This record gives sequence, structure tokens and C-alpha cells, in this order.
Amino acid sequence: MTGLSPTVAIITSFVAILIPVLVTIMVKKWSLIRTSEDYLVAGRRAHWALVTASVTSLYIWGSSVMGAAEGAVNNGISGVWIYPMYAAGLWIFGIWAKKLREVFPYAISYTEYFRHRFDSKLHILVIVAAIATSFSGAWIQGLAAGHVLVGLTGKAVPYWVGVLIMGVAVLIYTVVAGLWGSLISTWIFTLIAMPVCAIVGLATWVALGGPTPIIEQAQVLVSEGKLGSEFLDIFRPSALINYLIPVFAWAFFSLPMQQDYWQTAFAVRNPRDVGRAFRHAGNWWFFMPFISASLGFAALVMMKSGKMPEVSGSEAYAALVGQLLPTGFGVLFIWLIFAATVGTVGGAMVAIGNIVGNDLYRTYINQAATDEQVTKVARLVVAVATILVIAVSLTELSILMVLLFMPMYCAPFVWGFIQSQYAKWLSPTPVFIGGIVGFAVGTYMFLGMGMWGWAMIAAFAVAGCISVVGSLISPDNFDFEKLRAASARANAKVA
Amino acid sequence: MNAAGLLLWVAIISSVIVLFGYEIWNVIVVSRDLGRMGRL
Repeated sequence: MTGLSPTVAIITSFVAILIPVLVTIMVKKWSLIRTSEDYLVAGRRAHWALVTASVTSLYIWGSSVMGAAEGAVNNGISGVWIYPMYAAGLWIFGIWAKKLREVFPYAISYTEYFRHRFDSKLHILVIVAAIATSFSGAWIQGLAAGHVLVGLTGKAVPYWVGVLIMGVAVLIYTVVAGLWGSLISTWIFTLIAMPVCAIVGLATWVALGGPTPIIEQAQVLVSEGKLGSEFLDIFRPSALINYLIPVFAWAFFSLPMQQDYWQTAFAVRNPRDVGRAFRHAGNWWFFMPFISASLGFAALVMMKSGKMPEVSGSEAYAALVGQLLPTGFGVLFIWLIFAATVGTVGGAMVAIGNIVGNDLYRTYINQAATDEQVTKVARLVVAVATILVIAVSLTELSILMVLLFMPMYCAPFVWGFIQSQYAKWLSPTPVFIGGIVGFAVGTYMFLGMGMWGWAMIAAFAVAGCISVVGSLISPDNFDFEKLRAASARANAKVA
Repeated sequence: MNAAGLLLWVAIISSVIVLFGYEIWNVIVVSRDLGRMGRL
């Protein structure tokens, strides 16, 4: 599937970016953007099912298709169900999002919560982590957009073309249409990407003759000693320890610290529907990589039996699909990757605009800022951040390490963030110190000892212990009414 | 059929049903709501 004509590839890409352009026109025509709240959290008027689809799109990227298959190549049949368990992060996030909307009803960014519930030192620290998280997520998507056209056309289309097409699309819809543009565009992209994923998966399985011959072949390989019998164990102990636990750690520790998710939670029209929106998105998240991961197992068997050239786990899905399906399926792949990149990069850019424009600018730079000024600054930040993403993505650097490192600086703050919504005695300084120490411990375990999943758990646990013990020694007595009052003031200002 | 084979069948069938099922449900619910907003 590498012989796609450059003309077809570029026309397909342009058709893909027409969607955000049409969405932008629609948002303008319907006058959906009047205030900063409209721009940053869709005026809290989005239907929960729209948010479900938009959140689902945040997950559609190279990793959820290729990474799911890689897990099955490395761990055997147990990898088929373990990767989709990332969805548990969203099922749990729904509970937290509902709670935050109860205690802080008119929040625009989650970083604001740290300002009102804790103090400015913790607030600044979390802002840095939040911006770094959204930016690195967008950066890796920019790289994917560049590589997809290069890969599918056999290098006939230069790398920068994909990055530029993606960047321009994002720039158009986010600057003008803000979160409304992001929600509606990602909704359309999800509706395109999900059937593509199912069709490609199903067509590949049909070409393989279904699971029965693959399992029979796997049993032959086991009897010949070419494949360990543990690869056919659906609860393989080493996979449960070394794969399932890091999956849970990433899902639970990185999601609560990403504004990309919070802004959609704040956008839901009825606060009572927030949990429902994320639960359904979790279900969607589960089943999308389930079918891709099953193909990873098929690829493993095909490689071990010599019916397919040996490739690395991350290339196994593309190699198998490329071997079995006609070139025309490449067009579907372009849609899938562009849906992923344009959607997630747009969401991340609005998130950065939200944190800088609303939170940082209004708190520390211009406290008397009018609503118009905030919207203007947020738009400017979105434009600059998007141009920066395009610029850094053009360098073709591998930033896998940046992405792997992301949960390390998120995990130490999760305990304090969640528990502080329930416990009035949790104090800012222990949470701050716990965050720094937890980050140091996690970083040492990751970089010094090469333990990724366990490093996140250690960062979370160390920070949590320090936060709790420190707060018990020097307890706070926070009045949650302050949060509701601050929230209501901000809302009145916008209105 | 052993557990491994069953898991693969479940992965294929359930994914296809859920991915298309959610698709249809979401298109109906969201387009109806957006249509209402457009008329306002």
C-alpha cells in the first residue's frame, strides 16, 4: 500500500481539510462565537454526544492503531485486550469531570482550579506542565501528518507537504471558530475514522480467512517451538505486570492533567451529562484498537511462519494491511491520519489558547481585561502555537521520548488535584513539594532505571504520600464556597 | 475453539458492531441537535 499516486494523495488531503473550512463557515454563519466563553468552552452549550465523539477523536492517532497491534506482536494474544484498556482512563475521567463541574461550575481551564484552590506557585507549575503536555501531543501529530503522505506515496510527496496541509487546516478553524470549530470538525472526523478502522480491520481479516486458520497456524508454531506457548495465554502474567499496569498508569495519570479533555468536559450543556459523555467515549475508545490489536496477533503468526517479512512491532499493522489489501485503501489511511492530526492538534491549540489567554493573561498580566481582550489574546496564542507546531514538526525529529516523558510530570499532581476536590484539609505546600519530589523520583526511575510504567506509579504514590502526610501535619481549612463564588464572578464578567 | 480463538472472534465481531452502532447513534443524536441550533 505504498504506491499511492502523489496526485491522489494530495487531492485526498485537500478534500480532508475542506471539512474544517466548511465548519468554520458554519460556526460564523450561526454566530456561535460571541464571548470568550463561546470561543474557549463552546459557551457550555454542546450536546454531550458531540463531546463523546470529539473526545473519541483525541484518541484516534498512529498509536491507537499501530501501537495496539504492536502490543499483540510483543505480548501475544493477551496484548489484544490489554491495549484497549486505555479506555478505563476515560471511564474514570468521567467521574472526576462531573465532580469538578460540581465544585467549580464555571471553570474554563482546569489550571484555574489550582489558582483558586491552592496558590500561585502550584498554579504556575501546573500551567507549565499543561502547556508542555498539549504542545508535545500536537507536535507528535504534526510528525504523523508529514510521514503519512511520504509513506503512502513511496516518498513521491515531500515530508513538509503533509505538515503544511495539516497546519493550515488547524490554523483556519481554530483561530476563527475556537472550541466550537474543534468540536464539530472532530465530530465529523470521528465519524469518518471509525468506519475506516472497522472496514480496514474486517477486510484484512477476510483476506486472512478469519481467526481459525491463524489460531491453527499459531498452534503449529508452538508445537514446532517457533512460538512460546505463553503467546497463546490470554492472561499471560508478564503481560499483566509489564503491559497492563503501564497502560492503566498512563490512562489514569495523564488524562486528568490535559486541558484538551477538560475543555470538552466544561463545554457539555448539562453538567449532569458530563459523566455519560466520557463513559460512552470510553466505550468507543475500547473497541477501536480492539480490532487493530487482533490484527497484530495475526501479523505475529504470519511473520513467525514466514508468510510475511519480519518487521518491528510498530510496523506490523501497516505491513500486514499493506500486504493483503489493494493500494486504494491508502486513501482511507490518509483520511484516518488527517482526521487524527487535524482534530487533536486543533484541540491542543485551543487548550493552549485557553490556558494562556484566559488563565495566565487574566490572572497575572491584565486583571482588568475585558472579555474582548481575552478572546483576542486567546486567538493570538492559538495562531502562534499552531505556527510553532508547524515549525517544529518540519524538523522531522523523533520525539517519542517527549511523549513517554509526559505522564512523568503529570502523575505527581493527580493525587492532589483529585483529593483536594473532596478534602478541605489538603494544603498547597505539601502538594507542591510532593509534585516536585514525585517528579524527581519518577524521572530517576524512568531515565536511570529504564522503568516506564512503574516510574509513573512511583511518581504518583510518592507525591500522594507527601501531600497527605504534609497536609495532616499542617492542614488547610478550605471553604469550597470560595470556588463557587470565584466561578460565578468569572461567569458574570463574561455575561 | 480455545480461548485465544474466541477472543479474536469477539474482537472482530464486537468491534464492528460497536463502531458502526455508535456511528449511527451519534450521527442521529448530534445532527438533530446541531440542526436545532442552526434554526435558533
